[in-house]
Amino acid sequence: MFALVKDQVVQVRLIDQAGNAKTALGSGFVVSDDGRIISNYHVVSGLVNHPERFRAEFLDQKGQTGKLELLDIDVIHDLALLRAAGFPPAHFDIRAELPAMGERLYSMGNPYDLGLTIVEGNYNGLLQKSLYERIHFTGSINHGMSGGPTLDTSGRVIGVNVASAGNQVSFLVPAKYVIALLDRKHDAPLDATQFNAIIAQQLTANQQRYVTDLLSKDFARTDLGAYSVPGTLADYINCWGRTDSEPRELYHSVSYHCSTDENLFLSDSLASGSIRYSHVLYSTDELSPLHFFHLMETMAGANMNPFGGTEEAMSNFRCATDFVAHDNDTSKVMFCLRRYRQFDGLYDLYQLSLALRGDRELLVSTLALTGVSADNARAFARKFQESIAWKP
Amino acid sequence: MEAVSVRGALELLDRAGRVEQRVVIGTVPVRIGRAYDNDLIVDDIHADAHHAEAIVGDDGVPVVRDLGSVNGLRRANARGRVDAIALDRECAFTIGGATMRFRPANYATSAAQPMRSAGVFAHSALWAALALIACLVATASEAVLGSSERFNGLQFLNAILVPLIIILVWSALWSLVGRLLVHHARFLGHVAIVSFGLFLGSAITFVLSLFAFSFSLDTFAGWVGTITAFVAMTLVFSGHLRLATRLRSRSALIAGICAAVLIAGSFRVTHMVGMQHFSPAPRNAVTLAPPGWRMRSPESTDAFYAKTQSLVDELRDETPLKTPVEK
Repeated sequence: MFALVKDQVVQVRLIDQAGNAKTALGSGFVVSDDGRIISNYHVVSGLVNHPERFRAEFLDQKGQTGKLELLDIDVIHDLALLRAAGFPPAHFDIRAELPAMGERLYSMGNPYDLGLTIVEGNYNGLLQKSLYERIHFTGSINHGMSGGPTLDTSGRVIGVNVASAGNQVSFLVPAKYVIALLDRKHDAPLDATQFNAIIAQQLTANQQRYVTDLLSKDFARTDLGAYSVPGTLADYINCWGRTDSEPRELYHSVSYHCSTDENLFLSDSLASGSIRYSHVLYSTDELSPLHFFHLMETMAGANMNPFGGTEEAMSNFRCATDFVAHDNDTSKVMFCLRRYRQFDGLYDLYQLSLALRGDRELLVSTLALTGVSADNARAFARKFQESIAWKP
Repeated sequence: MEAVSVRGALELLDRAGRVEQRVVIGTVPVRIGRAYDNDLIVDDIHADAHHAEAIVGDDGVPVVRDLGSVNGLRRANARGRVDAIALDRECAFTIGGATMRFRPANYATSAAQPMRSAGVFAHSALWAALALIACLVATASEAVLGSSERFNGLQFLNAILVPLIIILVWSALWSLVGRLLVHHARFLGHVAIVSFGLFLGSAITFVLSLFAFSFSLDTFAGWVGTITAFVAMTLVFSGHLRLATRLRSRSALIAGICAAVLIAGSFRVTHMVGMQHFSPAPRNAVTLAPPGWRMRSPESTDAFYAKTQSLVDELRDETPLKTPVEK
């Protein structure tokens, strides 16, 4: 099979124009007689983010190189449609239906620039706990194989290599999204502004899908001390707990952290489409209230992960802070937003909520949503805040 | 030599205004110059050997008269040479680069100061000790409040040793300045001033932070450091200048304010430059204190989240970044 299809798999290279040298490597495969090639968006994202800085090339098995044009993208499923001239009229067939559990599959690509490689593995179903549909493939996909095809025993593409968690745990984009991308029939290369409009439209539709779904239901709750707080809000959100009680420390904490496992690659420094939240209940038996809250002032901001991005892509955060009452509880809430400069109408949200009840206990809740509309950010933050309650 | 009815003293001053030499005018002429046969010898290269003399003028008033010197006789703080200056009241004039002062015999002198006794010394030492203790207690409290672990004796010592050394070195430097300018070190006075300033700085920071929490003025919290630095530095610099120079209280205060504006202002500018840079996380500080300190009524969730629309408007109205020109 390798001999039959090897000419239809290429290495995709992103070339830095100034240095005329490769700056990113991935794989791709031919899907039409006129030289259309599928790869991952994350392999060629430089063409969208910095078109003046990069160009894309393919390298085939005969050692020939040629220019690649970017025709269309699907950032939600990390796919890119490219076109190259000069390929013989042979291409892969795409299989839309999913394989049977345990079916033998072959993944192809160029790991670590070592040349075309074929890896055997099995189909292990779709990820059950994922916001974005992914095939679980038990085979070793390594750096450089991104964008390569995974084939069934008949040589049909069932998925596109996209990520790995190591130790033969790898992930594929189901082939039906390749078919959907090809069906859009974008024939002419687009400029960065047009691609940004496409990305904005895809991100907006994507966040509308899952945020609307989450807001339409009551938030699942969990207990943390005497508080009832938002718990596992959906299957695709993974939650972890932890208790910290060091003998040297004068306070204790119980924490509950949740996040989606996947996010959407937008650039090397920016990911989007994720949900993260946490609740940490701090308490003390020994510290005076003044001492305890002085320490908590430092702790409240300490657990925040940076959101990434660059000044070109993102604005700085702007925040509103005030005491907020709901039922009989008063919290201090800081609500912050930052804007995607290239994608109109999309924002990242960070909310910090400090439940002010006892003198020796403080609940710190944080919420981070990336790539959502302002209305969805506000509605989600509010529902999240209203779902924090003290129930002794 | 002739006796004169109006008497007084001619004083040669050094650059700090201190009297270097003094000649009581009992008889005239009193000869002034660089030569060793003068009554008042001026050790200045711009003074003539026989530069000027004090005599009785035609109208019977004593005058100091230029003897045709190279650099002439000039009134202090005035331009242009003069031939003679009447010595009928307090006046100052220059002989080359040296400043001289005449004070008449009836010049009012201040009341005698009691000699420095053990009691007075104990008084200033007491103030220095009190201010130093207050400052070190404030510093140690900050260290304890900032620590999540139980403090032991060594940690306490560590928390107070660094500020103590800084206070002593800082006071020693000001004492040196005072010793050079006014010939008094006043080390304990400087210790009291800087200790009080640091204590006040801690106290202001603490009170303003509580105020920011109580009234939910978290944006104001960013100004706490600047306000504290300004107030404390104004008092500290004014105090040091008053002790270590001949500046009067008002001038010392103005100089202190200028120094504080410069330093606190430069901190503020540095802070503002930092805020202009891109940050991948919110930079806003959240002030926190025991819930009982809250003075402001909470907003309803409706009101609070409606208010956040203004953030969206502000973000939308931000000036866009300049994009590189496409070639």
